[in-house]
Amino acid sequence: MKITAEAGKQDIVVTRAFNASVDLVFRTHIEPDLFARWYGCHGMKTDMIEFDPRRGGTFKYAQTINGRDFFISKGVYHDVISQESIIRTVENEAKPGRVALETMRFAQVSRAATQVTAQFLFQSISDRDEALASGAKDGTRESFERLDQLLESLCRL
Amino acid sequence: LRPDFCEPEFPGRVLVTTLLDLLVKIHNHIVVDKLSTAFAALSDPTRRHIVDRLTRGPATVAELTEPFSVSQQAISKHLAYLERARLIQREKIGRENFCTLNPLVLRDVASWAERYRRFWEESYERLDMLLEEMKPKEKSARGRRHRKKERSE
Repeated sequence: MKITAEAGKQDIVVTRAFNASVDLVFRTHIEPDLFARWYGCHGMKTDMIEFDPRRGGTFKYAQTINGRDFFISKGVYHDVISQESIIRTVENEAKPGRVALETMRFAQVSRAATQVTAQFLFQSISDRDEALASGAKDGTRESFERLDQLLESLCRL
Repeated sequence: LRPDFCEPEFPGRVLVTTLLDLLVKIHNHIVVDKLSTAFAALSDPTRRHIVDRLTRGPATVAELTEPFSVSQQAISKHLAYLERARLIQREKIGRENFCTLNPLVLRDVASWAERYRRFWEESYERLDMLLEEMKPKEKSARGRRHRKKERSE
């Protein structure tokens, strides 16, 4: 997986290849049951409230990690072209008006490999940087607790 | 006594080494103003080695030069680079000049973009598994279609 976030730009681009046909990969993005099974990090639960991936259709889902960090994402599908692209807006319900434009492109690179390129375009550079840095303030996660312990012991040296 | 028992590894060393590997990956793909000096400082293998060594405790320039076949002057240049990025600092302990790690900057670098990266990396790992699960169904469906075709022929 490759993440690109260039200085002075307001987008993030994530690219990833999958060992599956474009038909399968595309289905996992437009079928609600399938989508809910993968979208989100480990321990994240996604409840689909609305999911209508076609031109003008809306989506809304609630996500939680171990019962905390509850948040609702919603938006509108601008365009869905089968096995090619999905363009939609995304907004965190807790931050109305701060809308990102999401463009996912699907490209079959061989019979059994598909490349997905996802671009997340934010309204400003600071919105983009905030999205990237969101983990920095989150001291609750175990990996950072471990790191904090390590850094504390380093400070004592 | 086993040699590794005489000199116990710093418990967090492995974690730091993994982090350094990760940082190289991040650096190769992400360039952003805020932490770019730190990322750039860590993009060099000698400097990463120095940072890795300093996770075991403070060291003098001579001690840091030892494992490398380069001059102390060359190492000093690397140290100046790390110092500018505020990853390390120099401290006088007794008569000797020691280099120590500045863990806070290392933490900033390590945690930057971590959540974002994790969200997509873990999502896509789950998607990999889901796709694997879907594949046999696809195969058997194709097989059925194929068999049907054969029958109709």
